[in-house]
Amino acid sequence: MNSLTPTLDNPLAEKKSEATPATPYDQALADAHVLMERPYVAASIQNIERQHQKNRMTVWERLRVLSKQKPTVLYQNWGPNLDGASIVTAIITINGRDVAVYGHDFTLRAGAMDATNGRKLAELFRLAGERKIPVIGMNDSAGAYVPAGVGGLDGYAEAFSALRKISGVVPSIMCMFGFNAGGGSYLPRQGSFLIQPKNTFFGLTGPGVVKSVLGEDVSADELGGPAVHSQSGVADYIVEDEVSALRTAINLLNYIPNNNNCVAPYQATSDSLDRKTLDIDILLRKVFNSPAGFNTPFDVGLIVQNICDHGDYFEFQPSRARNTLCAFGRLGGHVVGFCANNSAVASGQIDIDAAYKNARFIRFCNLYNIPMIFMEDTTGFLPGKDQETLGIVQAGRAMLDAIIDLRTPRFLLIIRNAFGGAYASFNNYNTGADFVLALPSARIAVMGPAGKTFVYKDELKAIQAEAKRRSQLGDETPIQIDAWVQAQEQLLNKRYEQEFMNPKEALSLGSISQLVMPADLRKVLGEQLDFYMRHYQVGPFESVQREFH
Amino acid sequence: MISLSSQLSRHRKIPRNTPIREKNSWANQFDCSHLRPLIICRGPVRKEAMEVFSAMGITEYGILLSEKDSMIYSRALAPELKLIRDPKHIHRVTDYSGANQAERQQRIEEIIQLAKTHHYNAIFAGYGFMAEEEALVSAIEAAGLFFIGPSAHVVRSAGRKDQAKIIARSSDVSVTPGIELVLPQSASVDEVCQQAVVQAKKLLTEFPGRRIRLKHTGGGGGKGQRILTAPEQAPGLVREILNEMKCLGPDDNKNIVMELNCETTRHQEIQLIGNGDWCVSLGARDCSAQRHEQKLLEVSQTQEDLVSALVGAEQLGLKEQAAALLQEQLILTRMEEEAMRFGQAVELNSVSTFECIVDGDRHYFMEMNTRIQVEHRVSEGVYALLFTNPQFSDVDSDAGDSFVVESLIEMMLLLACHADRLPKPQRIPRFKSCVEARINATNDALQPHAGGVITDWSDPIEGELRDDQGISAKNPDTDLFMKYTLAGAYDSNMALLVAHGEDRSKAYGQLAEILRCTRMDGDDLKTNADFHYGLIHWLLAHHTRSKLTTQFVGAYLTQVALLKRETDQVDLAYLFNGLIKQHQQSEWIKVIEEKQTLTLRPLEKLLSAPHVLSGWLSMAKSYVEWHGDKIIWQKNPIALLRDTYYFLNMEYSIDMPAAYSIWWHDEALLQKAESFYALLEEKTGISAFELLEKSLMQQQPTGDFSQDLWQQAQAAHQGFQAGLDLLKVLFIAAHRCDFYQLATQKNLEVTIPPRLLDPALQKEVQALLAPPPPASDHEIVAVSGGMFYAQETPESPPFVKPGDHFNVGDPLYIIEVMKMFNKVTATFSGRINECVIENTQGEIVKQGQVLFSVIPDHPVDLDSLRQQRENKKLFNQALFRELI
Repeated sequence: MNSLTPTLDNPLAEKKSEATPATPYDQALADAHVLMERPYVAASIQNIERQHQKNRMTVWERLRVLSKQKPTVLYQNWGPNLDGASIVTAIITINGRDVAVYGHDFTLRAGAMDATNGRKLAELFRLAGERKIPVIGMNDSAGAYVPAGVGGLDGYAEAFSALRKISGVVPSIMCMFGFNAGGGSYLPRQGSFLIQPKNTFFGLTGPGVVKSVLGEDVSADELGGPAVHSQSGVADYIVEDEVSALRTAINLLNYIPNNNNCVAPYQATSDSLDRKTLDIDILLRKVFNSPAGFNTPFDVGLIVQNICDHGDYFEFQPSRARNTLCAFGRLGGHVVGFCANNSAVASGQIDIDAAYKNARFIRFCNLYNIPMIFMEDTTGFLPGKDQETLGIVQAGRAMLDAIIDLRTPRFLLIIRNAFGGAYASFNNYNTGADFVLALPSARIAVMGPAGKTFVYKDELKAIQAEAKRRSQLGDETPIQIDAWVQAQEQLLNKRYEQEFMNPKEALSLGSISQLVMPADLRKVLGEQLDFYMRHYQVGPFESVQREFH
Repeated sequence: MISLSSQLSRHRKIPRNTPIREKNSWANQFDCSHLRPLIICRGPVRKEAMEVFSAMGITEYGILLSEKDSMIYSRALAPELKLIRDPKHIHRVTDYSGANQAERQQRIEEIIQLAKTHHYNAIFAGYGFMAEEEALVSAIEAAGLFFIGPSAHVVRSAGRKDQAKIIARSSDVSVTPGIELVLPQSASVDEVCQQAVVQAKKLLTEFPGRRIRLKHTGGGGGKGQRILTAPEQAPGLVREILNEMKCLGPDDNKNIVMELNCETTRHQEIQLIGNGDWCVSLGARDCSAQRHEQKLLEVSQTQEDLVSALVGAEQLGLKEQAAALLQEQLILTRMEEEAMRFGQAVELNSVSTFECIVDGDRHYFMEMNTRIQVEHRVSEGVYALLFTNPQFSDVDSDAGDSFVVESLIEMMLLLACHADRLPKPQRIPRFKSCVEARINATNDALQPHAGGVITDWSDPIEGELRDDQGISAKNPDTDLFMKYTLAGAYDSNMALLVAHGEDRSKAYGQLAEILRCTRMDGDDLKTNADFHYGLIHWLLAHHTRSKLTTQFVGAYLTQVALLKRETDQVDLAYLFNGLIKQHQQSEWIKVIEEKQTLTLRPLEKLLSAPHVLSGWLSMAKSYVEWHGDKIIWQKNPIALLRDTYYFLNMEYSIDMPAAYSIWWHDEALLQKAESFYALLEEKTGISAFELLEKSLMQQQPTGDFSQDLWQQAQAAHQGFQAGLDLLKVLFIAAHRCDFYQLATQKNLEVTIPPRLLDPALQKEVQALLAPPPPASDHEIVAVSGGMFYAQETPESPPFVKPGDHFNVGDPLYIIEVMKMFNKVTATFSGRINECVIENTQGEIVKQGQVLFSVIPDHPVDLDSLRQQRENKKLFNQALFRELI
C-alpha cells in the first residue's frame, strides 16, 4: 500500500479524447478560442488557491459581485504573454448604468504594474472620460513589476495622469483589496472615494522597508490598516470584507451622477414632501428643555434622517471627524449633500479634520452638480496650540474656499449656534448661499456668551467700581460682595443672551431669509430645493482654477 | 376570512371582499371595515396588525410612535414607517407606558384623547406593556372605544396573578404547589422588603433546599421576576423587581407573589379564544426552551400531531417513547379542558393564554395572559376557526353561510365588534406542526447586545414567515436595504421566524433550512440566529419530541461553552502543516496541500462560531464511531465535507458572491471525489465506508477490476482521503468535553449531566461565550453598549467612588440594555482611581468605553502571557498526536 503514489484523478471516469481540428480553419478557430480563454485561465491553479487562502477573491469573482451580466473585457490579450497583462479593464452594467471598471489580477504576477498594463489602465480612464461614465477600481497589486524596470514606473505615471485628467469629469470609486504599496496607493487615492475592507494594507511602503530604512518596528495593520486610514481621511469607508466593499461601491453609485454634465439619479419618492417633521420638534423640545438648556448636545443625524425621503441617507467618512456630518440623501427625489455640524461630538466645533472632511465633500458636490444643505450648530473653529501647529488656518481656509466656490443650489439652515468666524465662513448669503433659513432656536452673534465682555464693557466696569466702593465701606464681607458681583454678571449674561443670541439682528439685516418651524423643515427645504433644481443649469464647473484646494 | 401568509394557508380561504360581501349573506354581518383602530404598541406585532387590518379592508388605522422609535437614536426609525404612506396616521407619544403609575395614567388619557381627536374608534395594544393594564382597558371602555382584546372584567379576574389562582381553585384547575403570599398594597418599599424576608424564612423552613420565585403581580414576559435561595436576598431582589417594574413610587402596585420555584419543569401554554359565552382552545405551545425567563423557541403541541406520533412510535415498537407520548397527550387533554373551563369562568371575550408548568405527569396552572402573545403564530399555524351559520346544517361557504378565520388578530377584531353574535366555532386543523424562533439581538451567551447595525438581510426563502417589524423591507423608492440600528431602546427581540410542516421533524427541518439560508450582515451585529441553528440541529439529531425542561437551555449553553473552551486554542495551520510534514514524498504533500482551502475554510468557520459548531456536531455525529479513544469513519468524509458546505450555506452557487460559497476548484475536487466513490461503490458493490476501506487495503480487487485499475483506484482513494483526518479534530474536541452526553433517552426525557448545572461553571459560560471587550488592566470598560448607572436607585450611593477598593465580585455599575438592568461585578480586585463617566444616572455608553480608571492589585505580568503561548503550543502538539 505505502508504495502507492496517491493521486487526485478519478481512474474510473470515462476518458474524454479531444478531437484534433480537421482543417486549418478549424485550427484557427481552436487557437482563437484558446486565446480568448487565456485571461480567464492563465493563472495557475496554485496561484488561484493562494489568493483564496488569503480569503481574497480573484478579479473575475469580484467582477461578478458588481454585476451578474457578462463584462465587456477590453484588450483581453494585451501584453507579451497574451494573458491580459495582469490587469482586467472592462465595461460593466450596474443597475442599468454603464461603468468602466478595472481590477488587478493578483493571480498573474501578483497584479504587478509594468508599462503595458499602465497603458491599458490609462486607456480605460480615457475611455471613461470620453464616454462620461463612472469608474470603479479594484486594486490588488504588489506594485511595480520589478523585472519590467523603469517601464513599471512609467506605467504608473501614465495611469496617474490619465486618472487625474478625468478627475472632476467622471466620479471614481476605488476599492482597496489585498496589499497595495507605493503607486498602488497613490493611484486609487486620486479617485473620488476610497473603500478599504478590514485585513488589508496600503501605504507608501510596507513594514519590511520601514523597518530597514527607519528601524521602526510596526505591523502592516498599524502602518496602513483601516484604523489608520479611516482616521486620516485617506480611506473614506471601512467595511468588513471584499463583498461589503463592492456593495458599498454599488450603494454609493446610487447617489452620484455618471459625470459632471448631468445630475445624480433622481428617484421619485412615495414619501410626501408635506410630511410634518414633528419628530424634530419633539427632539429639540427635549434637548433644549433639559437641565443644560441651550447647551445640550444632540446627534444632528436625527434631523437629517427626519428630513430625508424615508429617513434614508448615506454618510461620507462615517468613522472620521464625527463632529461634522457629511452625507448624501434624497429630498423629494433629488440627491442632496448634507454638511452639518454635529454638537453630539466635541460640541460640533470645526477642527482640522472636520474642515478637510467638509472641504472634500463640498468640492465633490460642487463638481458633480449635487445641491447642498448646510446645517449650522457650532460655537466655532477649534482654537489652541495643537490646532494652530497642525495648521487649522489652512484647513479652515480650505473649507471656506470650497464653500465660496460652490455653484450648485445651496442652502443654510441655522439650527442653534452660529457665531463669529464659523458663521462668516459657513455658507451664508455673502459666501454665496441661495437660501438661508433658521429654526427659532437659532442664535447668531459675533461672539458666543464670551461676547458680553466687549458689548457690556461699561456695565462691567461699573460693577467692578461698585464692588470696590462696597468693600471700602466695609458693611459687607468679601464673600457677600463676590456673590453680588457674580449675580450682576449673571444678569448681564442673561441680557446678552436675550439681546444678542437670537436670530433677530440677522433677520433684520437680511442675513436670514426666514424662520421655519421644526415641523415644516422637510416641506420648506424640499420646496426650495425643487425650485432651485428646476432652474439650475446642469453642466461642468467652469470657473477659473484657484490657487489652493 | 383573510389569509396573511399564503404559505400558511393550505385550507380553503374565503377572501373577505368576495362572497362575504354579498348582500344579506350570513357571514357579511361580521364585517369589521368600519373599525378605525389605533395601534399603541411596537414590536413584530405592530407590522403584523397593519397587514391584518389592510387585508380586512381597514385602511384608516393609525400607529403610535414613541420617542425611542423616532428620535433617540439615529438610524433606528421605526422600520414600519417605510410602509405607511400617509403621515397623518402616525401619532406621537413620549413612550408607551410612562415611568410610573402617574405617568401611566397620563399616557392613558393622552391615548384616549388622541383617538378621539383623530376619529379612531378602537385601540389595539398587541402584547405591549399596556395590553394587560386594567386601568387602560377600563378607560377605553368608559370612553366608548372598542378595545381589541379581553375586556376589563377579564383582565381584572384573570390577569391578576393572585385573583386568577382563586378562580382557578374554584374551577377545579390544578395550581402551583407551595404557598402564595400577597403583600399589602399600601406598604412602603421597606415594609415590602421586611415582609418578604419574613415570608421567605417561613417558606424555606417548610421546604428546605428549595428556591422561591418572587413575581410582581403586574409582571410578565420574564419581567418583574427574581428567584431567591436565602431570606436575606429578599430586600435586594424586591427592590430590583420594583425598580424594573417602575413601581417604586408611593401609590404604585407593590404586590409580589412568592411561591416555590419549580426547578425541572416544562412550560406549556394553551391558546384560548372566547366570546364570554363559549371558549375554544387552539392546542398548546411548548415554550420550555427559554433562558432567564425569556422564551426562545416555541413549538405547537396538538392532539392530532401527538396521536400520529404515538401511532408512529407504536408501529416502530418504541415502547418507552409511545408511553411518553401517551402521557403527553393525557396532559394536553387535561390542560385544554381546564383552560376552557377557566376561560368560561372568567368570561373570556377575546384571546388569552392559559400558562402551565408541566412536571412529570402533572401540570399546574401558573397564570393567564390576557392578551395576544408573541408566539400566537404557532397556534395560528396549526388550527383555523370555522364559523358556521347555526340555522343551517348543510352549509355552503360560497353562499356566505360559513367562513374560516386563520389569523388570531383578525379574530380579536371580530370579537371586539361582534362578540355576542359569533357562534361557537369549530377548530379545524391546518399544519400538523408549527414552530417559532425568536431572533434576538444577543451575543453567544444570549445576553442582550445593543448598538449593532444591520446592513443587509437576505430575502426570505419560500415558506419562510418572517415577522421582522419591517427591518428587512427595502427603501420603497430605491429598493435598497436601509441600515437599521438595534439601539436597545426596547427588548432585544428583532424578529420572529415561523416554520411549519407535516410533523414536528418537518417543521424543525424547515426552520433549520430558513436559518441556514439566513444571512445578516452588519457592524457590531450580534444575534442568536447561530444559537437557534445549533439548537435545532441538536433537536433534529436527538428527537424533536425531546422533553426539554426550562433548565435545558442553560445546560446546553454551558455545554457549548465547554466546547468552545476545547476549540479556542486549536491552531488549524499548525495541524495542517503537521499532516503535510508526515510525508516526504512530494505526491503525498501535493494531494494534501491541494485540499488546503477545501478543508480549512469550513473548519475555520466552525471554530469561529461555537453555536454553529454545536449544530454541526449534532448533524455530523453519524459519520463517526469511537473505538476507545480512536475515531473511525462510518461514512465517507468526502460526503461530510459536502454536507458541511451545505450546512454552512456555502454550497456552490453562481448567484452568491464567490467569497461566500465554496471556491470553484474545491467544488471541482469534491465533485471528482464524489463521482469516483459513486463509481467505486457501483463497481465493488460495497456501500458501507468501513468495508470499502477494508477491501481497498487488499491486493486482490473486489469486483470487476483489472489489477492495474484496482491499483489506480487504491491510489485515488489514498489521494482523496489524504488530509481529511483533520476533520476529526472537531470530534476530538467534542469527545474531550463530553459533548454527546447531553442526550435524549428512549422515553424522550433529556439527560442533563449534573456537571452542566454546576452554578460555578454556568458563571464561566458567559466569559467563555462572550468574552468581555479587551481592556488594559488599568481600565474598566463597559461590557456592552447601553445606559450606564453608577448606583442601584437614584437615592442610593454609587457602588464605587475614587479611592474605593473593590474585590472580585463586587458590583461596580449597572448597565441597562434592552430594558434589562445588568449589575456588573468586578473580575479582578483593585482600587478606583477615577470615575470617567460624570453622569451617574443614565449615560449612553458604547461597548468597550472606559468607565473607571483603576489601579489593579495584581497587574498582568508578561510571563503569564508567554506561558499562555507556550500552553497553546503544547495543546496543539498533544492534539496532533491524538489526530494521527
